[in-house]
Amino acid sequence: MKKNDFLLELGVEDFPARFVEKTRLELKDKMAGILNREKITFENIEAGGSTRRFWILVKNLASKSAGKDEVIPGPPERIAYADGKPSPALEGFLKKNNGNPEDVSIEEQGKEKRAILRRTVPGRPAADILEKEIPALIRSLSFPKQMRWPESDFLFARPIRSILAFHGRKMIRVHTAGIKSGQYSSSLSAKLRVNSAEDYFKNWPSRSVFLKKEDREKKFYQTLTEKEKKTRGRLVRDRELLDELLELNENPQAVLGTFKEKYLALPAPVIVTVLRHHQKYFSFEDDRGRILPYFLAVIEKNPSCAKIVKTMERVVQARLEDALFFFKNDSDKNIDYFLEKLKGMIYQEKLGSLYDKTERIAKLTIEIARDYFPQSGIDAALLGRTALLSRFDLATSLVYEFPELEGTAGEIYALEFGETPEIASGIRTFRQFPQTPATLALFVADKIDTLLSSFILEKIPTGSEDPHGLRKEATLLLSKVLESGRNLRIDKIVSAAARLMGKEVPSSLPEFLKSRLELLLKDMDFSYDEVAAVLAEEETLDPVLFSRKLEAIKKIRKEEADFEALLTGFRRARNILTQAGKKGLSIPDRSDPSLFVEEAEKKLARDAEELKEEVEGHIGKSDYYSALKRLVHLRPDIDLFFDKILIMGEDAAQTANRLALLKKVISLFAHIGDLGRIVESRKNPEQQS
Amino acid sequence: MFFQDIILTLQNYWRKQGCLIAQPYDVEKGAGTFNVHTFLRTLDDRPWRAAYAEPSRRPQDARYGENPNRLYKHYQYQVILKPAPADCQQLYLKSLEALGIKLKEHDVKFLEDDWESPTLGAWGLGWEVRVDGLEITQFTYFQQVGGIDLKVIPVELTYGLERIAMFLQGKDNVYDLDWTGDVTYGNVHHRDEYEFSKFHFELADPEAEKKNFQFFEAESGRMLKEKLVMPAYDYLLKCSHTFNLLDARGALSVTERADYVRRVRSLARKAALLYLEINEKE
Repeated sequence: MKKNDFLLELGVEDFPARFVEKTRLELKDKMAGILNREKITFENIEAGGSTRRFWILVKNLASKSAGKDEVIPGPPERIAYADGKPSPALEGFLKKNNGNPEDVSIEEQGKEKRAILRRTVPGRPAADILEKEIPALIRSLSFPKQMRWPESDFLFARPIRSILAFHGRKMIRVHTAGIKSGQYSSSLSAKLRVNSAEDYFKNWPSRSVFLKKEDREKKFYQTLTEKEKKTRGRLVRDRELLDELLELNENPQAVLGTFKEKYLALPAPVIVTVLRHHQKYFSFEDDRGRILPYFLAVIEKNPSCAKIVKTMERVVQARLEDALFFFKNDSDKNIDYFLEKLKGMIYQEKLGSLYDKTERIAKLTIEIARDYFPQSGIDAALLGRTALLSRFDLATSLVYEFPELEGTAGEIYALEFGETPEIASGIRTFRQFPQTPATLALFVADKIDTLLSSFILEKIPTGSEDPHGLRKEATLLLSKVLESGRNLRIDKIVSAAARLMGKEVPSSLPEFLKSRLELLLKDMDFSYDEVAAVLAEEETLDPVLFSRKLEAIKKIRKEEADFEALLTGFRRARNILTQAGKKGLSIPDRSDPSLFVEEAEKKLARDAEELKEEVEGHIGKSDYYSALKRLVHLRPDIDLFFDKILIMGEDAAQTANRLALLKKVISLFAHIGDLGRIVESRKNPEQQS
Repeated sequence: MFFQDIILTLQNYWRKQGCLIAQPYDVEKGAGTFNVHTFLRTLDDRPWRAAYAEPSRRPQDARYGENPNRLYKHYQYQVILKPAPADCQQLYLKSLEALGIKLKEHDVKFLEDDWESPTLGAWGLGWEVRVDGLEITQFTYFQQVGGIDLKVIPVELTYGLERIAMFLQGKDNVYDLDWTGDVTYGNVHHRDEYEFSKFHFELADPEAEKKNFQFFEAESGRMLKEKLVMPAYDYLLKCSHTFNLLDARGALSVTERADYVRRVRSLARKAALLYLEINEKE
């Protein structure tokens, strides 16, 4: 069959750089999906993009889809023919399926003979299929932020302005969003006539439009070397920034600018952030990590244009001048000045100022450290001070002007104002990287205060509405706690926080936190039924404890075939107890060994008693795996018990005694969760696939 | 190019693109979007093209005339094209060429920057346009105005005139811009920058302004009931400016602030609906 390269290009108005990579991958996957589904063979697919275009190259795409054999059962033989001629029933069937009488045969199917339509559907031209499928493919893309434009009847990230679609030299007619596929591909300053994929990949690079990101990256590094040399230092690497710039510049050229040395009076992180955040420029440092008075920009034009650099330097100067002004302004003050200012900054109406919040957090942080990290050698006074200073930088003019410096500015100023390095770094690190017990305590206190105060003020997320981002806050809290591997009773800390506020815990908060934890655990690859079993009827909220239990269950299910059978017995026992409860039977707290008659019940009672201490010992040490491992040994006893014993017997006392035994057995498992909620493996949809 | 010639050049360029050359709207406002030629005219589905220079007041940005880049009042050049033409990016780039910016010699970037006006209940997607790292224009495809989904999508171009002038004249300080050959921007505006900074940050009477807000709000509501959209809209603009003033004065807490924004937005939505209602009858 004839094979040719297929090219699709969407010319778009400048896409947000952050969407490019995701869109490129989605286009590639979906295109492969279409070709496989439609049975059009190809060698491989490549896709690329920038903020101005997306392209897909399919190597050696067949010109036709593969044909397929169809078998369509029709009416039974007895009504398919009348007097040896096709009946109206058969004719209707053929008409409906667009079939020929010659393709019909009578075949045995099940108990009777039927008319069967068998035919080979020939392959269709790839062009026809693509014509229809490409508009659907474009429409199917979705973005976090989407728009309409006059020609569009669907949502997209930015307007699409041109489409190229060539299979070999044949143009595929694509029509969508008011555009018909044509022969031109454009950049902001050039237009290129294209007749095939080959043209496209040959001609754009010769006009300095580099279609592949890796080529653009090479280009960037080529132009960087000389600039780096000039500074006698090295570029402060920033992968995220480079990725963004490589999407924005199809012919990336590094240009070097300078700024006045007086701005080096600014702390290094301030310079780097101001250059990066506002201008998307890189910084340079010397071999001792000191910032140099240079910046690197990436542009698409001939970098010899001195005018370009001049304007860039002017903008950088204005930014750094602002930063220096605010920095000096703040540096003249002291910590107390800013704490005083925090008192005038309202955090949440009715719950006081930001200062009030930090005071609450300080108390809560110390309580957490005392209750959960008594062995960590935390200096309570020092931690309290860190907490009290955790937000003071919000009152500085530097953070007011450059909000992205929050935390960073806190650390810098704290040092400047004579706080200890430990306090200073704590102010910055607790927000994102709470790695020490002290910063973890502060992090947890801060997040819980935020969640609790929002819930008290009834700013509770509903449906798709979460204007204060509380779901994200809660997820952040729980995931950092899980990462830390430390046992924290979130429910108790919430109560403590409420006590410090002089308020009650709003009833919806524990449920909210639990549901966030449930989602988080499921995202961590625990199956839904195991998560449900462990969280069921649990009023405490110790995320790490739950994750340990889940790990134990996961492991035991993998290792012990008997565990499934044990669960069956467990469920049966639980059902019997539920029914007994419904009948109003009273069950004694403990069974009486003298009332057991059969060997099966005696053995279960004996073994359960023997296991009890050991299991509880493991549980006490949070060793849920060993506890479960021991419990699996009860399986033959339980099976035998249900096999041999009629529980609801004639003798009421004996019945009650047996129920008490079952209750005891179940209570052994209760430390781990309501295991009855675990779905048997073969019924578990998540394990089926 | 002198400051006044930049405006004249843009007026001429957009006149040739079929724009109605309109005048600034004479009530204080924070941006050219608040002008009736944009806010009200984008609501219906009739074609509309207009362009005008708009003095825009932002009390929060006042700097006592001491900052070389920031002003309490700056000038925007505003272009509104409905429906947004398919070649609007090219049209815009050509307007830069008309201003003498040789595109081949400069790095022009359209960087993602979505625009939202919470008080107008309006938002759109688009870019900030940077030339050699300097932001000179906001470029927005409106999606919603007055809380109403637009049937015909317009594009709004907002040029920052002082920025463009500083770029073209190579000046580091806005007050040094040549308005004409012998008058600087500072000659025209330095004194008012200082005086209004004093007023916004130190002397405005918050209690009186809060009362003003209430009165303007009530008056706007009353005119809406009378089905008079233009006076209602004027009073809404006064509300919006009074809110900006109170905000700059530091007279509003976070929740109070949110409440003021909500109140202005609610008037904007009602005015938008009334405009459409009247428009349909015509």
